Amino acid sequence: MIGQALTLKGIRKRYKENLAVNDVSIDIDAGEFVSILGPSGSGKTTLLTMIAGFESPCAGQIAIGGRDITPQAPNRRNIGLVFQRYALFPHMTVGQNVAFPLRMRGIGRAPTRDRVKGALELVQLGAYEDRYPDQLSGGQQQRVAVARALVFEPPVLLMDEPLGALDKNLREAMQFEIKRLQSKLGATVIYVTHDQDEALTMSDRIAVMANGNLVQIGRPTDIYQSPVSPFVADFIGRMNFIDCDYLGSEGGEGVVLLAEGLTLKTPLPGPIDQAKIKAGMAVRLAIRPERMSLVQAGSNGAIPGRVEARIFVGSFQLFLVRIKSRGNPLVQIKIAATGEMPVADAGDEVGIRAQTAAIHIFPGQGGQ
Amino acid sequence: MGVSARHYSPALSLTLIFPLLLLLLAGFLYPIGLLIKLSLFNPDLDFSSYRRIFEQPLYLDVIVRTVKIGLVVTAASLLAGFPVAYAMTLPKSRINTIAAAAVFIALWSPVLVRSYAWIVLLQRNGVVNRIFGELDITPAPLKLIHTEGAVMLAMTHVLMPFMILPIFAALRAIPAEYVRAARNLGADRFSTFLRIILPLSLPGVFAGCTMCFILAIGFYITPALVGGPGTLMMATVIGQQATVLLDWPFAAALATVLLAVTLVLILVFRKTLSFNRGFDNVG
Repeated sequence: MIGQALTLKGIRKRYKENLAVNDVSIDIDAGEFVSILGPSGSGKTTLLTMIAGFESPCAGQIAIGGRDITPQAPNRRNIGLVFQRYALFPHMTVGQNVAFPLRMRGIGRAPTRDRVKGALELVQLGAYEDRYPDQLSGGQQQRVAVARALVFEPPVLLMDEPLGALDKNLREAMQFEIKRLQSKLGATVIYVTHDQDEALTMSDRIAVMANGNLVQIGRPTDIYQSPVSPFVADFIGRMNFIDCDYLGSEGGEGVVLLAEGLTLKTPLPGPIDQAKIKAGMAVRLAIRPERMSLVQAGSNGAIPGRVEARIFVGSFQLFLVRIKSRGNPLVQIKIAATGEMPVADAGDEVGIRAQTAAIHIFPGQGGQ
Repeated sequence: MGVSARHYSPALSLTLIFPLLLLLLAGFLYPIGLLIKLSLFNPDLDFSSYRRIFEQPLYLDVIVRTVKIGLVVTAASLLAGFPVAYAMTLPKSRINTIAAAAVFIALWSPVLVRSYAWIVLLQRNGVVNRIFGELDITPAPLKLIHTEGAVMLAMTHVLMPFMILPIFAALRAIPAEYVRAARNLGADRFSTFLRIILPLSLPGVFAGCTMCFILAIGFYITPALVGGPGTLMMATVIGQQATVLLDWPFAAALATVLLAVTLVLILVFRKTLSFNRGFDNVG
């Protein structure tokens, strides 16, 4: 029963003038962990609400294991759901909370007792059955919520920012815990979050949403390394943007003009953007901080700049460099901390290089 | 959660509650002390007033009737008021606006006016009897006014807002997520109400019942207007003794008994209704 495929086909939701979810289609395999990632207002919570059945889509179809559930009431859908604020019933003990879905399904006393025990042991709270929710810490309440959502072996488990209310250390421990449970049980999980680190570390695939649209879906490495738009590039991980002009292609590579007499080689534009990028047009380059390096000022082909700040972050150093190109953007460069520290310091003139293959080129410009 | 009393220094807390404390002492505890003293000393210790209450069937009848009317009115207010309070919490709709308006208009209009309204409705040539007569439902006008039923009906009408508002407050404090969680876990609308909404509204039910009952057994105007000699209640008798017969020690003894009955019943109430937790075991 646990771990079935979920299909969203052409889901659309409109609130009066406001299009909250616009034609979203996702195929999720059985046992897959998919994060829906987006800023607030992107439609990710609305999408989750429709899967759970609290709202019905204006158009489209939701199916679990090939069975259409779109017209079903929420209590008939058999979907597990973990709320951001847990939503444990305060007048019931932990055991009664976890037993609730089983009682609603008319399961007898003895099997209920065994399954509640099993579910609580699964989340390592076997000894807490007779406590009330307000006697537990936030992390423990979260685990009870997970046990309650899993005890009836739902084909799909939805999680709505389940770690949003926890502090950082606990979050990391719980990420690991949820991931462990998911792979152990083979559960299909839809995980809604606005935290890109969470999405990157836990997911098999990430679906990025913005303004009600599904902008990109793919494995974490694909999303990180090949974002389809400046929005995705900026939303996931740190990203530097440099505005410039596209000069054209030359020997299988693109060439852009950063400033008077300063050109840079880039990969060719991606297949989607190819038609939109022509010689002489304004473009945006996007480069990850860890794919850039510092060199001597005046080195051949390096972009000149001046270090504004050097920040030591433990395992790496972050340099903030004001580069001499259009708009003088501030660029972050991340350099692994080795035994010898780079010599550059605040105020120094430097040159920077970017790995050509790591440069993304997007049409248009933005004011960063 | 929030700022608890512990965040204020004891001195500040004391300063803040001092005016209220003073008012309670001077305006409530001191007069009640006087009252009890008046009922017991004449001028020496003397239980004759109390003996009279418990020896004469008339006064025992009044006490029993008062408690009975109080309980019936409380129960009727709860049964009729809970659905209204629930309707007021429904998502924006015409029903919740109408319900809220009805409750507040009732609360804001004077008790005297509302009691007279019942006289207009229930008297011998009143609206109800005339309709019944026109429709040939009853051969002769019914005796509706000055009955126990009329007192209960009018008091329920007057006291219902005091039941509805605490229940409404308790219902509105239940997070919508609990309802969604219950539905998601497989509960239909009825089970969600029975196992989540109802148990979580019990503190409001308790507050409403307490308020309604206390007000009911001390009620003066409505029983005096709508009731008759056969429906005497404690407050009316106390009023008679104090202002007409000028038997102050006896009035004081009656008042003390009323106070004692109120306190005892509130304690019993509290015991029986304190199942906020563990309610789930009952079903």
